[in-house]
Amino acid sequence: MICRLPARVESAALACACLLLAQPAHAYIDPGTGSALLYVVSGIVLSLYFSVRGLYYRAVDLFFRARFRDQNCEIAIHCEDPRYEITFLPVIDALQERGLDVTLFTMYERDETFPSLPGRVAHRAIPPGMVGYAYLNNLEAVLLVTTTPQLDVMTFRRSRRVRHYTIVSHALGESRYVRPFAYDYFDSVLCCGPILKANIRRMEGIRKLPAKQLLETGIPHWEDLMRRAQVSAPLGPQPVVLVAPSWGPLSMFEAFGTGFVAQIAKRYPVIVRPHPQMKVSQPDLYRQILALDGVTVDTARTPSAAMSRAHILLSDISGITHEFAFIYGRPVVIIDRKQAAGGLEGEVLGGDSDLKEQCKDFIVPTAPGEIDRITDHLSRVLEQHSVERVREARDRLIYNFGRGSQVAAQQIEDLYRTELARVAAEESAGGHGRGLLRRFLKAGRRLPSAS
Amino acid sequence: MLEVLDSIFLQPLMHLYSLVFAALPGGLGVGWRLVLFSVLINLVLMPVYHQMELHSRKTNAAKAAVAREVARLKQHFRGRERYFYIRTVYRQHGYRPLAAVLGSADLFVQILVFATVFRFLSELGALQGVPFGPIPDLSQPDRLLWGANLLPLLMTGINALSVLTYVENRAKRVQGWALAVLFLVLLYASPSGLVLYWTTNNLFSLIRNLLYRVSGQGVDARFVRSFERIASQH
Repeated sequence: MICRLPARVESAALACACLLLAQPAHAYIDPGTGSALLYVVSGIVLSLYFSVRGLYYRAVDLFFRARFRDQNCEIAIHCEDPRYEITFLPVIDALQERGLDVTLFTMYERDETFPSLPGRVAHRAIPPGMVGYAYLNNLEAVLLVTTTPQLDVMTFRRSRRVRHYTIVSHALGESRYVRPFAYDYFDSVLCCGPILKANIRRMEGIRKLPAKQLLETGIPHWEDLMRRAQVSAPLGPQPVVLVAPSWGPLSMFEAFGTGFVAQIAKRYPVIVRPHPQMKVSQPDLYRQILALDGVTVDTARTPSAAMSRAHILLSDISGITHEFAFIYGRPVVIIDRKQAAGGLEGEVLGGDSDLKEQCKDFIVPTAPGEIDRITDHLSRVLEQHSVERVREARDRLIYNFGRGSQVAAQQIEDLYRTELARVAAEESAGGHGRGLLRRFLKAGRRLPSAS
Repeated sequence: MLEVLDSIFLQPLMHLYSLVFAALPGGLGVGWRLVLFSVLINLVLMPVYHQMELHSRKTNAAKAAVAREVARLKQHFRGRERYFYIRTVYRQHGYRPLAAVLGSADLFVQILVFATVFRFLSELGALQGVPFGPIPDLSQPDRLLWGANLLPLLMTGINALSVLTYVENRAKRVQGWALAVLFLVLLYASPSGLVLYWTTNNLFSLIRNLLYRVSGQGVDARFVRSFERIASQH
């Protein structure tokens, strides 16, 4: 049987053994310089680690780098996922009306189930993920428009041959529930509303970044949703509840399970719309929702049909709450979980959501502890709802409500012309202008006059 | 190649130390000359310490901001995502770990001087069979504490106290103490003459740090200013 000494005694014995066995040191450093040396060594190790890891990502980028002719375009639109097409399509239409051609890069194939694109729009399907970004990172264009944040942060890097990057809002956001550095490296942002604009400026101040162009745009696809809302069938007499939470750890399905849906269904007809991302990220929960009894489960590509039939929406932080309230003018109940910003930009901004505060009359926060009485809350909110309050908030919080796509197209054209004028100035000053103007003129097109 | 570097950078310094050591009054005995030699080297290095202090103060705020932001992101993100975020933090603060290290030339000067002093003392034949106070032979470990070596323990105690007075960050203090213990192990069986030098050196650092703390401004800065004043008068 082996008898073990207490850990403290063992450690002391080990230290004594070290002292007894110690040999004269031939290291050319003394104890006082030790910490300095440690600093040097740790700095070198850290740098080596970063360099090696950076080399790996650079190698991947180089490996997939391919220069095709179709990488050259003037206005490039990058659509990462089908759910963002709804944002771009009205803008593309408006750009076509203005005589501007665009190239749409989608990170998915567009089959016949997708709406057809205007005739002069060039479409290129590129692979999703790193390969697709390796392609985009070598694009040649005057302007690139996207809804994907974190330019030059993760694998979506700036191409040296793209003059200007702009990001357009696909929902009413405030740069709070987005991942780190979401807007930091764009040249301009087509802002949905004043809160987003103010928060981006605040982040620029906190991070001492140069001021980017913040344009008052709005949300381009909302007029399309409005048109659909206007032509939809009138609401039935019996109130219908739409349950449409977000996905991931912040989702109310993740926090409370699906039991509360059955409770609501005892009093009201219920439509459940699981977030599309749940199918990918939470497949078990998604299957559980599809199997719910006594409710309608909606998995259509867009939520328009479900929203048009519902009198009230129950959700959490999902962007659908704003669409439902502002486009349909109907009330929303959100389960207000006091969630930590978890490394998101809101953590840097501090405080709580400004949008939540300013919309609380019609997007009514309810404590998570009230989930067992959620049906009573839904009834109360339905009774007290005022459409006027929604309209007043809408005019205050959203730029150019109902004409966002036209404004976006105008602003994109302005950005494009400004960049072209700069290219022309660089060319005439003997600069290279990255050869854009030469190719542009070679293509036999007239240089647009700078506005 | 190493020999060339040795001839260019190390040998002149070794020669300089020989001259300084030989110039110290022989009547003092080798032990006191070692103590005096250590004090002289530290006095000469004071302007370098001052530069280091200035440089460190200038970069500490930036480093602290980077460390805060990196720690925040590390709490929430892992792997590839964390790597890219940390890279962005470095970019936003204009921080390059390697440049931060290599940029502090004074640090390398300090390391170079101490390394060469160590080498000089290791090769110093004058220590052979020379006693100093209760130490019978400076070229051997002292064996003053019932057969155990007293000077390395004294050196470590002073070093630990120096860390306590100089380093405020708790984690860095623990790191400093761990290093002190590591050097105790490494130097425990060294010739007592060498350990005497390092003990004096550490005592000098401790006094310097204490004075720095009490005065609220750099002792080195005052020394440098006095030095400049004397230089301008001549």
